[in-house]
Amino acid sequence: MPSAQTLLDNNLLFVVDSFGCSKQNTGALAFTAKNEAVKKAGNLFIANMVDSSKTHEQRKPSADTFLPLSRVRTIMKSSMDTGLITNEVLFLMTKCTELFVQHLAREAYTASSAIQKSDTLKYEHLSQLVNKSKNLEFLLQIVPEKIRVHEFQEMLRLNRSNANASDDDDDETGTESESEDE
Amino acid sequence: MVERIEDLNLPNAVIARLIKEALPEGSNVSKEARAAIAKAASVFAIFITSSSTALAHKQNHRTITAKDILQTLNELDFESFVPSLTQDLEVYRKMVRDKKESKAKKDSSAGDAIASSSSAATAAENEDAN
Repeated sequence: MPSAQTLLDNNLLFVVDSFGCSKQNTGALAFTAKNEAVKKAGNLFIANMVDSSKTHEQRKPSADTFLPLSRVRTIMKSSMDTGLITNEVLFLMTKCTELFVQHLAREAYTASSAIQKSDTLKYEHLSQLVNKSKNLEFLLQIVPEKIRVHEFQEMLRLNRSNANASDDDDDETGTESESEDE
Repeated sequence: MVERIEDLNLPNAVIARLIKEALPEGSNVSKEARAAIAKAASVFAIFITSSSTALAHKQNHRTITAKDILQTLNELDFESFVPSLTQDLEVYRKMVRDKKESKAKKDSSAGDAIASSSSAATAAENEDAN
């Protein structure tokens, strides 16, 4: 942060300098007053910057939601026999979903930047995260890992040969289970 | 009931903004990643709702409460969400209470019976949730 502070101060001085040049005849007193005001604004700006960087860890609690409540209600209703949805529950779920979106994005991004230097969050980062996180197991079918066509064909072939092998091994049990199914 | 499957999608622009807020400045998000996150968010909401509903039913409650959701989050390894959600909930409850009070004041002067009864109903709901 100190580097940012000095950088900003220099910029401010520069701004104030150019400002002072054009209004040199208004007097030194007015100039210093302006200088102070601009400096104060700069400090405020820095404070805000620090604040926004802090929100990653400690965000301000608020009663505002970004996602549309009506849409979240529709989503909740689509789940089986949900009874009445109170406004409070709806609010909580909306907030919760927002947190989840940010959690997912942040986790995937930090995991990816640890491996390779890239500033773009890609699908692969998400699928990798889902694959290795226990609490994201429910997303395995939603965000599956991508595989190449020839890899898939290889898998298919392996599967088929495996199935054939097992068929050869216990052909009788196979037909037995089939007849049981019928 | 849902008529079209698109009705379950969350708005793209809002999702994009939320992601942008979470990532450091200057980072990008691929279109595919954004779509996947949006889809995941919908599924997450459904997942948490049905889990909370199951939890409420186990306790012989027909409607889910805020407590059910928080407990579900704890059980499903999302306990990191609970502290900030609890704070948000406090702020929300305070807001509802303030709104109710100011409305009650207005109603007593204007005598709007319908509005006051509906606000009383939501208040009762919230107390029940507590």
